[in-house]
Amino acid sequence: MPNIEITTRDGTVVSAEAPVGMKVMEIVRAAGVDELAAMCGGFCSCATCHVQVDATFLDLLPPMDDDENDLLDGSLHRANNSRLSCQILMTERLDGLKLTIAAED
Amino acid sequence: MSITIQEFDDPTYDPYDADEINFGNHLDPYSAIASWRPRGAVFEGSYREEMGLQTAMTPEEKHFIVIGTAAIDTALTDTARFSNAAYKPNLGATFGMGSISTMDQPEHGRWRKIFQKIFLPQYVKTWGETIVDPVVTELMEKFRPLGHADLIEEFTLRYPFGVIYKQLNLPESDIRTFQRLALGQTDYVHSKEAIEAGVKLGAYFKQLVDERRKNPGEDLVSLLANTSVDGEHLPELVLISFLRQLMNAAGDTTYRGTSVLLTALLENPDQLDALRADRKLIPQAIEEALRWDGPVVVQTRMAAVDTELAGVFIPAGAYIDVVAAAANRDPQIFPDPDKFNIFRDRKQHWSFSKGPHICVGQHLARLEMTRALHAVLDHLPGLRFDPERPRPEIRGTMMRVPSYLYVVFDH
Repeated sequence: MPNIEITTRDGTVVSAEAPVGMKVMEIVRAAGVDELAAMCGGFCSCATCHVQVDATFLDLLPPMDDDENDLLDGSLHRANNSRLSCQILMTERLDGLKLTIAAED
Repeated sequence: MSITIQEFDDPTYDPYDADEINFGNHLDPYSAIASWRPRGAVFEGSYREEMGLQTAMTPEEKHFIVIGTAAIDTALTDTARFSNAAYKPNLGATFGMGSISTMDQPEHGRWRKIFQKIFLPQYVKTWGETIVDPVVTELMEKFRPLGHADLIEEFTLRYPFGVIYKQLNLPESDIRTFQRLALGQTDYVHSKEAIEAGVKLGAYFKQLVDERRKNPGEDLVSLLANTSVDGEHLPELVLISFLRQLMNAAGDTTYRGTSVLLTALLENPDQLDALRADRKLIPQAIEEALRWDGPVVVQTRMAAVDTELAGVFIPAGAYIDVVAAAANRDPQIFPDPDKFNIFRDRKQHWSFSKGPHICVGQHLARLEMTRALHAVLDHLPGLRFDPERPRPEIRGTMMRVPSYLYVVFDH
């Protein structure tokens, strides 16, 4: 099974098994990293599953739609590599994905 | 074009009296909720009945109460099993079946995205100076020279509604009747008046929408009336239902939240002093007030299928009272949960709910509470309880607020 590598806000690195087809947000939470609040439950209706993705993986991610882009614009911590992790479905090509939980707004 | 607003058929009807009978007056519902914990995370029963309130516009179906935090999260986020159709008999009957609170995915998401875009934090923050501050300042100037006030009657009960009237750009002469109708809509115990209020407010909004389509302004009605989806206007049912719900969703909750915040700070003068010394603490004070005693105690869902939650079988069609306030006082998450403490470790609370129905106005609510608190700190130095008057009591079984907050300050 593919894996992902999660860096938490205090810098701890957590490795997690990542079933293909699962939302990355759900993978992070299933790994016990509940500082990723994901308050809306994965419906692209808040910005509390905000992560910053290692730049080498950015091109492998699904394109960002307007709703996700607008929500990220509301964050004080948006960077070039920011995504909402509920909008990324795990694929084989994303094996080894590295991401960091964004600072809390 | 002239727009008319219709009063209740019975002009002596007083929607301001409806609060206690509909939402209860418990001083401390949290001790009752805590006493239920040995019964499990989920158990059969109705929150209203357990608390001794009469039923209100909810059919005689089986009811379940959810107080365990994990079960609360499941009920609020697993929308395939736990449906918002539970709100059709009450919110749907008065706000209208176009209320997105009564809908499930994917229909809910389709309309929600449109409202969500208007209330994004980057847009909402521009309303701080243009809309919220003028309303707050005008109200405060009325009592500031006196050196004393009832901050509920003269401030928190008024400013969130003032913000809405300004956002909607309502004619001044319509406001008294508008407010009576808007409040009457949630008087579910008096269902005849609640439905009458919904009908009359809907007729008013239809005229307002027509007028703002012809002569659009900068206001929220013009914005929503002229929003298009796939080249078409928002369906009238969805638009009118949203406007009907706005007073309740944006006005009533913010009035309650701000009232609790100010009460909690006055009861904890050391924490109020800390805020005076460092305004950067304002966001955590607001979040802690929302956690400690949030405006809305319970949300309702309906089992969409025969299902199980925390080991308890729930038949399709049963009503589920999701006591989000129980999660806010979960000692496993918030140590010493009954204590108001703005310095506690920051964790997400449940007061804007969770899941796809999470409060669409949460950023506006935070902005309004922030501006209100800044104004209190700026203009009411030495704020303290009035020693000659009774201390406030935060009350309510379904919805929380103190009915008065007598203060004195230096002037």
